[in-house]
Amino acid sequence: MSIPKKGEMRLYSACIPDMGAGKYTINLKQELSGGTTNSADDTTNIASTALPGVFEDVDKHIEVTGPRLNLAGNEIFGSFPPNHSVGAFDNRLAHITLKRRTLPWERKTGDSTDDTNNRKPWLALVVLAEAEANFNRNVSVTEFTESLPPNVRTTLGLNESASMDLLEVTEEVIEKVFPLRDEVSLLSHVRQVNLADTELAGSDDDGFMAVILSNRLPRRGQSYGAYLISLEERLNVLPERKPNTTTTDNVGGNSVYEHFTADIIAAASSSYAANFYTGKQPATPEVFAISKITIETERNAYITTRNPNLTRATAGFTIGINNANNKTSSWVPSVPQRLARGTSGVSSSAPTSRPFKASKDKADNAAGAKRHTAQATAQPFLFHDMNYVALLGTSVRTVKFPVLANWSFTCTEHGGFEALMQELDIGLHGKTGSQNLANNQELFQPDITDTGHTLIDHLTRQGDTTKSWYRGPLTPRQVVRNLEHAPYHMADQARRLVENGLEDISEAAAFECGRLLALSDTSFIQALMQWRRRDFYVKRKQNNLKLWEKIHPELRAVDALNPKLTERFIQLNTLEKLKNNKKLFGKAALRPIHDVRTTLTPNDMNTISTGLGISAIDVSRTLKSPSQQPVTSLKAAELPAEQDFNAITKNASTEFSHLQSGLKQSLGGIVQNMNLATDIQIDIDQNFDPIFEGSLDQFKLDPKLPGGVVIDDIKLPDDLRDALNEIEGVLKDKLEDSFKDRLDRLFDGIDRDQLNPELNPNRRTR
Amino acid sequence: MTPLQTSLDALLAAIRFELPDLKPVEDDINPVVTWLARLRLMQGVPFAYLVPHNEFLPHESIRFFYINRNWTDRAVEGALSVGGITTQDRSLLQKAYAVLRKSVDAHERRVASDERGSPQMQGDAEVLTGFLLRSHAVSGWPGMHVRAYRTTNNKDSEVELLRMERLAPAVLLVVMDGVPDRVELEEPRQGIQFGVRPKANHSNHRFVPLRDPETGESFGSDQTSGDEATDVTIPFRSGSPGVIDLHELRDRMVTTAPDDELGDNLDSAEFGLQMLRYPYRQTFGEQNNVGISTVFKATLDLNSILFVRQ
Repeated sequence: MSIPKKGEMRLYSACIPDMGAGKYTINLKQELSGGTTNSADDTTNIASTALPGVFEDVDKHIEVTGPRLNLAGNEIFGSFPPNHSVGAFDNRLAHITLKRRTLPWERKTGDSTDDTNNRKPWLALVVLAEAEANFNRNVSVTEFTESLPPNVRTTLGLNESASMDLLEVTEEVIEKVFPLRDEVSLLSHVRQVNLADTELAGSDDDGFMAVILSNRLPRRGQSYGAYLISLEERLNVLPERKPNTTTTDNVGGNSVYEHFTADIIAAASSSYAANFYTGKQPATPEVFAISKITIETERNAYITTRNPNLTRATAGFTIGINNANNKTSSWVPSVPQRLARGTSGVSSSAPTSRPFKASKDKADNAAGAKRHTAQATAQPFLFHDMNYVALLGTSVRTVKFPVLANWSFTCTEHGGFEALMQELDIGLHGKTGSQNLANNQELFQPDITDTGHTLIDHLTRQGDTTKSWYRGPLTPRQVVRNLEHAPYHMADQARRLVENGLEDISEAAAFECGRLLALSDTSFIQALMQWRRRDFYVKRKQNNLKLWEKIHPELRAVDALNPKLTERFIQLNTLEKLKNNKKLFGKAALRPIHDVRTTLTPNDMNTISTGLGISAIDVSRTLKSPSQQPVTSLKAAELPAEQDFNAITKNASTEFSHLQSGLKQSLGGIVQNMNLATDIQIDIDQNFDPIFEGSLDQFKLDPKLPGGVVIDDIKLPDDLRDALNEIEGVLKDKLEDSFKDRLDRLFDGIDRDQLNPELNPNRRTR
Repeated sequence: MTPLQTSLDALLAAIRFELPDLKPVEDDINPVVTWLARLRLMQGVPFAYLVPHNEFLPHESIRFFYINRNWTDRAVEGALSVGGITTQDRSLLQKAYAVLRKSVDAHERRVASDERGSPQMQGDAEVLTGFLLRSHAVSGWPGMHVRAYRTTNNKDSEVELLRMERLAPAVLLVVMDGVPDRVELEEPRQGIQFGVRPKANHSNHRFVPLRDPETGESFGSDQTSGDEATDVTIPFRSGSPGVIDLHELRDRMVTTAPDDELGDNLDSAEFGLQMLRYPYRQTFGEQNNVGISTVFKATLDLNSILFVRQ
């Protein structure tokens, strides 16, 4: 027998063990034959004169055990519908899967047609609505055995001191709902799957499982319990198929017993009664009373036809209605209390206590009868309802079954997955619900174009109300992505006017939607700001810094300085140098530059000295004699991390050449425009190396400027000079910016104390 | 404006707008890009923006759509506009936008795979499509499987789902990466089930299509009508709604089976096979007579024709 492939399964109709559960005796007996005694005329068989004690029979007792009244949870592989689940199970048969493949055939059903090869399963799965079953957990086994006929009780030989779960149903329910005797065997089979197939095999150890199906489709709106019951030696409690059994192709209504609801509702002249039978709460006590009478009549009629001997059956019915607030025990799983609540105002005759359970002690019965009566009155399902068993006492026969496993589920109103899918209204976005329109012409229909636009109310800024077109991100057609104007900076940029004069605010709304979503998410705003700073400005400035470094090599040393002061220092220093550049600027005076030195107080000098990390003497000297090389002590300072600069300067050439070419082009234009061509030699060196090594002085003073433009002895007109000043200013700003940022970046994560102590302002002040 | 000024202006402009090379998405987990990619998939977008009117999504309906790239682009730009105060901010955004948009495009497909932990998809985002499903099937079957396929040269390739989310208990939004030829909704697999099927034309009747016990395949075409020759209508006990008359059902199965395939009696394994119900799978597209052309239609940008941009 091969193992099924993954995803496959193999079904077997039964898996009957060679030796079912039960007690066995192995009887060993030795028989001797053939030999004779020495005596010629004594032909007695030796066996008949067996030696005492040698050939005695031997009995060995063995017992094959297995689940009988209880089933351990780990014996159950799974069940459907899942416990406590709510869903549309109305086209599904409940089933339970047991890990032990032989389990359903391990015990005898007591059926006469069974033999070793063809045995009916002793387990059946029944699905019962709440009111149909009386289910008790952990009751004494005696409660079960006492209900059995004596011979069955003997055959079973149960340990009566144990406890069990017990199901009690009326014979009526058995007849209506339970599988017939010959149907039971159809409902159990064995499944074999590949162990590697986790979806099918789960944690099973041999790949074989026994499956037991129920025979009943749940009806919508009902809660059900599923019970795995034992039929051991008692298959005969199940009904046999009657020859005149009628069938119908109609699955039936949603009530558990449709003929009752239908008949009774038809019979009840009062609509209140109808309400009552369909499970709705009667509005007033009077209403309830009417309903009650109807029930009584019906019930009497029923009892008469079914069991003419039941003449006193009504006695229990009219009693104890006042006592509705008594909470139920497990006797009634969950009778709707809401129905019982309406009964308190109804007067009732004096309670006549009838025992509702033959074997129960009497003290319990009075209270029990009362409360169940009240609930029973509220239940539409009459004789199938276990509550009526309570009130009729022993006059309706019930049958008890051991329950090995049980679970509950609720079947909901809406249809199954398949039905829902079949009935879906399919369309592209923008299609309206056509059936709604057909049913109700009054229904408001929005204006929806086939492009997916719809007219919506629009309150303008001026306060006018108008209509505008809107289309969301979902469209029935593919829309070409328009990148032309992106990005927009304001929602108003995305407003569009449509031909009929109305606005299309789709994209403007999208813009605002995105903006508001962003604003509501602080972590996004943070990330956005960080991105702008880090990946945007800083990068730009880092690039500019490369240029700066070429111009001011000595400034690499001032990294440890206070950025503010450094900035100012650079400004002054740069301007100083530029100012003295007579060759570039001719003899014309530059605009006076505000020199901070003139306004510095001694306190400021201290600040500078502290900030720059240099001696106060140096500062003082620098301020006094501007022509001198500034801050000599800085030259000795060490660079914090040389390799970082190298990385930064890597692309300096690119940026520098950009600037140069711009400058070159412009100067060329300037020169042309000024008709100065005769005085100027323009010599463009194609092989010019843009990496500039040297000071700003060299950069500006060298007659052969980088970029190959040679400007010598040109007397610049005022406007050109102004322009050059401006250029210079822009350059300066740019470079300063980058310098500052570079400082920030360089010291990010660097402990300044690790640096040259000479440069550390903090240490110096100590 | 004199030529000189023009030249100088050009020079100034050259200096001023000398921006660095922008690489805003150097690291894959840039939170800005991730966030924007999610916005592209309409995460967090209020439902009223998606469905401006009830009538767009009636009860028990499914609506297929394309995602309007212009709408999502605007939303992204709106988000980027936050905190942009100065002209400089704007000019920088202007410069960076193209790069950023490309990053978000590339990231769009990763959002789903990152969340699921599946291998990342590469390449730029394509046309996005999807559907909204409003049905009890969404609330009642929380683990519903959705699959989409594209057929090229008779070979199916799965279309990745970029987003699948329940926006409300009964509303499911699915965004797909590309235009599928076929979409399948499948009942969640809750193990193996047994049961019957409702007849399409007779709501009170149930049936099972007979299967060949040799192969497990249906004799008929396994359609949903219940009118096939090999479909068996389920008999019920009179007066006991929902209780199947197994005796009668067995007889019906035996007589309905073609060529006496089931013999003259039915054992429990054969019966179990007949009652076995696979998870139901609804196909939208070619296989379900809902021609894909009616669901997905490539058209010109009508927007650009109807609504003239200023």
